[in-house]
Amino acid sequence: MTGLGVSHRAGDAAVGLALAAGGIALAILAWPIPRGEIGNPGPGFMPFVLGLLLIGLGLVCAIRALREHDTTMVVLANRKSAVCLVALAAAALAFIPVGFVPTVAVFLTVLFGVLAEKPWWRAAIYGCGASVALFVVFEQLLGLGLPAGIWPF
Amino acid sequence: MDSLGYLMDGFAVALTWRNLLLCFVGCLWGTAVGVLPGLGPLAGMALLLPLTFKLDPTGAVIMLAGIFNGAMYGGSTTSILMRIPGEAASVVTCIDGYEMAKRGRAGAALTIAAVGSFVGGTISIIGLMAVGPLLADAMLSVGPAAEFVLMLTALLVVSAVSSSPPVKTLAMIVLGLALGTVGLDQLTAWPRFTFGSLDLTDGLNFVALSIGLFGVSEILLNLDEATPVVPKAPRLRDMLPTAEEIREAAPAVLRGSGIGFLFGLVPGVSHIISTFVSYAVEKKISKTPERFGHGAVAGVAGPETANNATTGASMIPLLVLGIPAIPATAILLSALLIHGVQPGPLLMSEHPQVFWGLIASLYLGNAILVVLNLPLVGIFVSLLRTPMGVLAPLVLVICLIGVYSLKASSLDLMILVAAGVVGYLLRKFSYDVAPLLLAFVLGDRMELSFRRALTISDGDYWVFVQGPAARVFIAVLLLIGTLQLAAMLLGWRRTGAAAP
Repeated sequence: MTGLGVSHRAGDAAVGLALAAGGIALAILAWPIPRGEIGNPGPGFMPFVLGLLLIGLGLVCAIRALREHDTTMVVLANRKSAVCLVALAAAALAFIPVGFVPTVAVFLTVLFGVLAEKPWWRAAIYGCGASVALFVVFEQLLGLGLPAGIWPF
Repeated sequence: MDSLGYLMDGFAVALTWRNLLLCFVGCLWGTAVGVLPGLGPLAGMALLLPLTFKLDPTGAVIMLAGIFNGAMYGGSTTSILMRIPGEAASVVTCIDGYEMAKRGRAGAALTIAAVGSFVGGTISIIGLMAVGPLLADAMLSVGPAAEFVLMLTALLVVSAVSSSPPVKTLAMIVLGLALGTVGLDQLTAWPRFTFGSLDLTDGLNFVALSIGLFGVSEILLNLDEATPVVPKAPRLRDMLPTAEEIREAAPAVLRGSGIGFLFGLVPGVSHIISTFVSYAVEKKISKTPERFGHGAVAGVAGPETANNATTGASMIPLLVLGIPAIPATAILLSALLIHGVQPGPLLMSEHPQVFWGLIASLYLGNAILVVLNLPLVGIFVSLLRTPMGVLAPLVLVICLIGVYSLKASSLDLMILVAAGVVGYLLRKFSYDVAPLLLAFVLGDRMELSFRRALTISDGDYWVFVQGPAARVFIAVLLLIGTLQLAAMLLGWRRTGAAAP
């Protein structure tokens, strides 16, 4: 299965470092918020302490990963999961401005075509049909109020 | 009025057509997601959580509890028929359940699992009725310092018994607590990390976060793996166990009920541990331990019963203490909070219809699941024939709808996608994201209790270990945590040796 292959050791260490970086960001962002006193903590106290803890724990995770000699390869985002992720991000962006039916019709067409490997014309029929069916179920029957966007209804 | 009287009132609530239907729909959906490998109770509950916003609190919690119970039942089906656990707690059932299936006893194994789950679930609910009111009375005298200690200890126990290394789990807990600080500070209304966005003043959206971390990441992980083999469903006439199988299963069911109930009271990955311990106990006391790993009936009956007994017992920390012992109950907690119901010692007096209605619906849900699981096993197995290429896009659309329906916010949809990516990466590298969610849910209350306790004590940190309640929580939870850890190691070692 194709995809971005990384060693478990390197990936694990990268996640640890990312957590530490998140901790640094949290501590920096929390710095201007009043921290109060040790016996009377303010709103910035907890986020700042958590930021410091996250830095420490992230570094420990990264060091532990680097000290292990795990040569297992991990496949990150093969073609199908990568397409799925990009399509989901695009659908999330288009969901409200473009509307439910057109967004979901395109989203499902692409994913039925790529993931289920259906011919494009069939994927389009299934995608459009499913988007309308889902609209009827969630909007008309359950009354959830889906975004209309550019769609006339 | 005594517990029995309240329970009758609870049945009056649960037996209305509307609540009965919600319980049935929850059980049906739960069983379906439990059967599908990868989609466990958390994803199933998170996906339907937004639909419950239009319901009253009792209806919402009845439906979600039905999903939770159903997913626990459904997980056993794929374990027995395909040796693929539908959710983590069904891992042990794979060992002997699949061996029974290979010998042509799949139907009997499914029946034993379903009936055992029913008995275990029912006994745990009786325990919940007995223990719940007593514990609630005791909790009324607990102040903010003890409450903070209780929540902190619960999170520490989770880190000790999680499936990932403790340091990784601790990192997830801290990350969850950090994410919980986004929004207006509860005491001073100071905006923290909102970046001027009004959407963020209420904090990060729990639904978007939980669906992203569990639903979206699960789909992405499944797309990275090969499609599993589809099994053949057993015929209805093969579902009845023989007299010998019933004799072997009955005591295992009773022992599994006790083990499951006890472990359900403890925060952590109780379902997984209780099933491993039950398996280890059954093997230890069996006259024919060599049959374990080769289709022993008690190896299916004990763990499956323990699994469902844990489900009922895990409601006690949630409803009585307001603390979700396991991630699935964190979603129940969220649903109750969204409806303005605060679980805790006052729940029984302030919202008796929610508490007792839920208990009664758990009874009914157990009965519905036995009726549902046995005759409809063929239909549930046919769900496995749905290709991931069709299932994944539809589940993702439901994720989008679920998050949008809450606040119609673009930001929440972006949080969903981001949480999906983060959850995918974390899980790829053996980080358990469930503690993150637990910490996120508890974060607000923990910080509030911490600061209130210090205000009351005039900044004296000894307040956290001085009160009798705080000392009791520290001692009891540390003791249980140690016992649970020891039991987990013992259970895993023994079952590990038994696994073929």
